[in-house]
Amino acid sequence: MPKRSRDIRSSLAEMFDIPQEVVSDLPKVTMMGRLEVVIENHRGIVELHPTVVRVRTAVGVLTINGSSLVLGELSAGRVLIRGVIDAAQYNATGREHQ
Amino acid sequence: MIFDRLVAYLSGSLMVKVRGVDLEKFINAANKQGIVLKSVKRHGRYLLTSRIAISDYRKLRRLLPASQCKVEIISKHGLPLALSRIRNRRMFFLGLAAAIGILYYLSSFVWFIRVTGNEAISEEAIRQFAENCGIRAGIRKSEVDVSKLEQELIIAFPRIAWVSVKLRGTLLSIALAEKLAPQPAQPEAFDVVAAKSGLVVRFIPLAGEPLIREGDTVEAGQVLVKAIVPEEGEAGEIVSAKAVVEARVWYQASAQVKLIDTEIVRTGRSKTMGYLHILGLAIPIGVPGRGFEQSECEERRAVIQLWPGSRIGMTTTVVTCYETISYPVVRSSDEARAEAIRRARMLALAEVPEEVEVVDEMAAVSFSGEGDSALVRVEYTVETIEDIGVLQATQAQGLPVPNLQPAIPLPARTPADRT
Repeated sequence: MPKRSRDIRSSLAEMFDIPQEVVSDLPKVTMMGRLEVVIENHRGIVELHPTVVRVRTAVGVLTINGSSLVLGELSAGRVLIRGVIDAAQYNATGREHQ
Repeated sequence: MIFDRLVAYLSGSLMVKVRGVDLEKFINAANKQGIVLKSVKRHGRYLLTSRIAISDYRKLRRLLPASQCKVEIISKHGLPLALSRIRNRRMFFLGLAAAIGILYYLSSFVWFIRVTGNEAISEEAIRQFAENCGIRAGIRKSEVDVSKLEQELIIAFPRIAWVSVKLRGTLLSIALAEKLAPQPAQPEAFDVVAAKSGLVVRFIPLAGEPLIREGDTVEAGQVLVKAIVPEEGEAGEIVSAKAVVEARVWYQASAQVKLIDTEIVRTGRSKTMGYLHILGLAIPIGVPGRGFEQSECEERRAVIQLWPGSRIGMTTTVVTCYETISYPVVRSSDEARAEAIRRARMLALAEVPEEVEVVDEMAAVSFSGEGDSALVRVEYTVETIEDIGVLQATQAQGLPVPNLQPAIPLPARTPADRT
């Protein structure tokens, strides 16, 4: 999505008090303790491994580190990761999208 | 969550194993096709397992050539699978349904009749009466009028004080309580008779015709005061005898003790052996040990119930044998005399009723034999003063004395009375 278009959407969302993830395709990451991570607006799985799950998003690849990691559910736009989560980190290449 | 599970169960799901080089590519391709993957777990580099809806399986297969993966079904879950099993085993499920139906149908009948609480009335009579009323094993439960049967039972059996008829499943339970039977009429006239032989020391006749006097010796069962019963046709009232009768009563016992004797004592060693009784066989528990040369054995039986109140159980016997040893005892004549007195006194006092006070004790000692056969013999007499007057029905004269009651309860005796 071009940067100009994204800025306009962001401004409109702020003006009308609408959640950002509704108007833009920014990922929404929800963590339940260390047991679950729900990533909405994802763009696919880059890597799946019991110790690391990498998920592509609009702002870069989100890496979830942990142990016994399993995809609890994978559907269009939503991925649920279960296991023992140690860290969630975006890669540096996604910074220019912000 | 529950709703999701319910939908998953109703639509059915498959557990699949996917094998391939680029599994992430396969996952993303499936995602793009709208296939919902659940419980995706990686097993090594080339294998993953996942759960998918049955309806998505065809779509998944179409992706395989492009992603160069192979898929294999591990297990199937859900209602469609259960229905397919039922279709495959139609006769089994038909039989099951028929069995449940027959069981339900048969449970609408009375199959057992139980009668409880009857003592004088025979169970057979109650069952017969119920059968005459149309209540028998095999009748439909809807045909049983419980309250009507209760009423009819009470009318038919006047002895029944209360009855409750209940239907519990296929059991018809008749619980009843009977009226208490009236006591047989007591004879009106009583004599005072002697419960024991003795010398009467205090005699106060209060009612009736006295037959003895103070100082008389009486025998057990002898009538002391006779009831006044008017002859047939004569006027007058029946007067039961009543009297205070105190007499000297003697209790005697003898014992003998040898001067040279053997005494058996336990050494303290013992052996225990258990037996389990099953079907008339005694099965030993544990390894039987060698017996003692001389021993005393005690046997205890116990029933081990399968559960508290159960009729089924096993009988066990525990035999404990104590080793004994006999060794000679040499007593002096004084020791033998004291021992004989002790034994004889114990025997004599054992016969004296608890509430009676002893007024005198006498011991007659005699020595006999010589050497090894020398022994001391003691005749011990315990003298008491006690109430010997008891009531006995006039008609029952000459019968044995048991079950008699004291004619008059004696006042507590003071020390002055004894002198």
